[in-house]
Amino acid sequence: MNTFAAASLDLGTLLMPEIIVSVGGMIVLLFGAFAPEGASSTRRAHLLAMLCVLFAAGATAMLANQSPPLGASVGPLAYDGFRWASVAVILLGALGTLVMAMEYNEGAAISASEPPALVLFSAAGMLLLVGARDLMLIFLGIEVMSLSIYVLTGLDRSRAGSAEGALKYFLLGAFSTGFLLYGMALLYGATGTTNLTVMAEAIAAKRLATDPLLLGGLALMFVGFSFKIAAVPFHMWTPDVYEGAPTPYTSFMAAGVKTAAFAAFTRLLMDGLGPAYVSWHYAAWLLAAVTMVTGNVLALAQENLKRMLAYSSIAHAGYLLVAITSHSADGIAAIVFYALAYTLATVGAYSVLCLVSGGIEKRTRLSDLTGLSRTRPVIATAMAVFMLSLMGFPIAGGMGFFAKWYVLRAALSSNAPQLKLAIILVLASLVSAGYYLNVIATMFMKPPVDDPAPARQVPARWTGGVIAVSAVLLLALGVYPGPAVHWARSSTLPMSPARGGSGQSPLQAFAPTDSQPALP
Amino acid sequence: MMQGLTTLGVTPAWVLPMVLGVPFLGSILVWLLPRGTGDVEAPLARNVTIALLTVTTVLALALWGVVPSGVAMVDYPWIEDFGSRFRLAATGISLPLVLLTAVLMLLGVLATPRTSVTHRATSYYALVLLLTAGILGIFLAADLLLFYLCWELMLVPLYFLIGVWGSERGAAAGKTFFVYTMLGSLLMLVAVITIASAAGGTTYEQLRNMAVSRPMSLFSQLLCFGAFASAFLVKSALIPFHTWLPDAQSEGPPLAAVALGIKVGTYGLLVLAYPLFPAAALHPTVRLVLASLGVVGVLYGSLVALVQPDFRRVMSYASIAHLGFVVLGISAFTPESVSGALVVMVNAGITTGGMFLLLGMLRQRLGDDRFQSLGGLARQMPMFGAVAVLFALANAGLPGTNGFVGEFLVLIGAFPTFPVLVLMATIGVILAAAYLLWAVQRVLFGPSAVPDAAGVRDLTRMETGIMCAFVAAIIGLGLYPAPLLNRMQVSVASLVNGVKATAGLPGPGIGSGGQP
Repeated sequence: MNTFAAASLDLGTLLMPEIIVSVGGMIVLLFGAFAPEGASSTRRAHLLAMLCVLFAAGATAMLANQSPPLGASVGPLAYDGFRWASVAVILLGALGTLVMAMEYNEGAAISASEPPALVLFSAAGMLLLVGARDLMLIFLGIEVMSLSIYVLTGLDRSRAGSAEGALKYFLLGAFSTGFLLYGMALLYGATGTTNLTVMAEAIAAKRLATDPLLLGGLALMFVGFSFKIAAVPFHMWTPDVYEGAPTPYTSFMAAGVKTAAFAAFTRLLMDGLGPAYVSWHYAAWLLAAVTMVTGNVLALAQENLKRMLAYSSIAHAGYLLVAITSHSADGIAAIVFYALAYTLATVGAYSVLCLVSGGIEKRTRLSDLTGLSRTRPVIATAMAVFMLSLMGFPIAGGMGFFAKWYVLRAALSSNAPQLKLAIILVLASLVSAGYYLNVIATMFMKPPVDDPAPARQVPARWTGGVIAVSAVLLLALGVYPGPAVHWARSSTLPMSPARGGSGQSPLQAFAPTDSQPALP
Repeated sequence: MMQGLTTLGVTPAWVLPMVLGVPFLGSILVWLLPRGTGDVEAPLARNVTIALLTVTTVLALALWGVVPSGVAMVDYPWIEDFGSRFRLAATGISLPLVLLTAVLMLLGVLATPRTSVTHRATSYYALVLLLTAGILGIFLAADLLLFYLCWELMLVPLYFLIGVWGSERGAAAGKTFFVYTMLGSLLMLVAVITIASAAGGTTYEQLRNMAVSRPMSLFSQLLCFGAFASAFLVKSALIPFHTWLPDAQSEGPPLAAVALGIKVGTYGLLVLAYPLFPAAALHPTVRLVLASLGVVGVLYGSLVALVQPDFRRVMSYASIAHLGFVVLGISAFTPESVSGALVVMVNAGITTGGMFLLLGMLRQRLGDDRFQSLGGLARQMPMFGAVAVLFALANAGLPGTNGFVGEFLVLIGAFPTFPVLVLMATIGVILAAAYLLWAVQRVLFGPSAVPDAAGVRDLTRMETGIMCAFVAAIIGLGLYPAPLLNRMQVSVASLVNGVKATAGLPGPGIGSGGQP
């Protein structure tokens, strides 16, 4: 063990962001119990929660600056750059959500301090999830994350859609958890361990890659995780839940849950099950292709923007799966980079929705944006940037293009180049131009209609701030992405053999194996 | 002249980035200008835009002056993890096109009257500057990633210009244009990333070195060439990928039509697809297919131009026919034919661009510019008539105008390689005279169908001045094309010889798992 590892081996330090966020959640709850009812308390509770997120981000930055190589871990907990990078992206999403929710909840009269606390608890689950290198911890993280999200979905008690979404999400989520748990049991049965490092060693040593028990576990894990990341054909819940949930929490689901679940899935597949690459490669390939195509095609038919963005988020899960399929350190870096770009664009887009709809959930149809460029030119321009970014368009879409570039690069430069998948990806994103451009055309190329009941003008200075920051960051990193690329890359560099601690490096998973399958 | 400029401190080191930087940063500046509700914003944004485009034009002229016959390059670190650098280069091939773009966009803004941009003028002018930056970037980039960024960047301003400031059908035409050209570009993206990961970087230098020192297999080269060609040929609207062009050019504002007349696609084909995949590009079948498509373009474009309902659509099909000559010249790939193709690219930009601006002025006056409702305009608008006739003759390739030089060079350069095809293309020259003169006749002569013909004003002094610039270019380049040809000569010769020398060495594949 090198000196760095010895200095920070203690779990308390390594769990600092999680601890800050969960303790912060409890403080916010207590604050709500003693503060008087009213809008100002709601605002204070949200501000308190934002402060916690900032503290957690600070702790993460301090822990991350040592940047150990990929796969560094203490027992069940990883402390590599990949974890810190994912944590940073998740905290960014949580911060945007809290800012948005503060003003949304005032507008929608959801005045209570539980929502910010729930956001913090769910963030704690996500943070745990991205650091987990043990099946038990993965399960714990998923459950902590999901339970809070179920409640957040159903927060708006005055709307049937919110309750419908919550129930649907809860039932299907519980169902998928069953798959996950059974899959974990089978993996444990096959390898005799829940620790991902030991699991990788066991699979490599005992040549378990095609062991029936392992394959069964693998399949069930795929089903479970596909529910969480909303991959086709396990995506049915997504549009209803995204539409039903209050808009700020939809954005948290799209950005935070997806990033966390993807990080964990990536770790599980590339790290713990890396030596069984031959067994899961084709499944991931197929999942990616079907998800990209289906998500984009179904998004074309949507009238409601939240549903459209839901299908778009399904499609983005497909793009990220392409990076996983590449099975390389480059692929992991692409996932980190993509998650950042996607979080900025998604949080920005949902902020625009919050602002334009004035907190009224019925007003999130595409037609409600008609002529927005005349009435609110700056907001419309920002929305155009977010749409182009999600589409993966250069310069005007900013960072979104480099996210696609990075994923394609990972797919095409890996040991087994995924040419067909890359072509499916670009064709799918061509389809996506159909609906993203539709939003732009509605905003810019149609005259505004006279609204019989114009949306209430809710105070939206903070939400406007989220929009501005997201748009400026996206555009700046679209012209000069160097720092972000470097950050993504350096946070996922594999351990060189010389620095490996124990005899068996957990990163053997990333070394090319001689049994690479050919192109499917 | 070169000595004088250099002693004044004009060096490519700062002129080159400024040519791109002035319009790009200028577009942000103009977008941030105060936006009033009425006419207040329009003059300010317009004047700032004109000033910035004038600066760009002067810089482009200075660049023409200071760059000797060879190459000037600037190079900054950009995205090191991708091996990409912010590298710009001015060559004998790109310089004429850079100058053309700067001048055309400036004249285009000047020729569009202030009153024609009725709403959101700041955004309009910001997009015009962004579009200029995108096109200039395509010609100046010496890094494939940078090239691709500029290549795609061009789409967004054009989409908005056509959709927002075009006719009622502009939104649909813009979307067709956007999606159609994006299809080609995305296929190219896959090929770009494939060769970039094989070469370990994206600068042209690295990629060309790879094409020479460890070339890809013929099959991979054919695939990549196909992907690049799909992007370039769709964007330049070669038959059968042309269907978006007439709609985009006639539904959008005149300025968008002018920008679409700048042939970025064939430039990409020539400086990227040919040097990077020489074995595929000079493969006999590929050459024959490209040359045949070119000739089909010439003939089909000319025939379809005969039956168009208005002059702008005639000009769209005329530019499709011009493009046929360009492709024929490139696919023959002799120094003469390639020079000829480049001259056609420059000249088509001048004559088609001038014509679209002139027709924009007509439309501004009459509203309805279909042939059936025009006629006899030469009586009310003698100046307009004279310019239109000259443009038509230049487009048809009359000796003494610029149109003749390029087409002649293409035809004699390509004749040894494709004699039959060249003979067929010659028919296109005759057809061009037919459809252009017939169009001119229906607009200018004969009985008038314009309701209040007496009230139509001739070109104003400002408009006449702008058209004089075009006329000067048409006649000047027609009688004395030597400066243009000399400027291209060295670059074209080294390009042609380089590609021919490396064409014979296809090697083991990349993209099939065989990484070095």
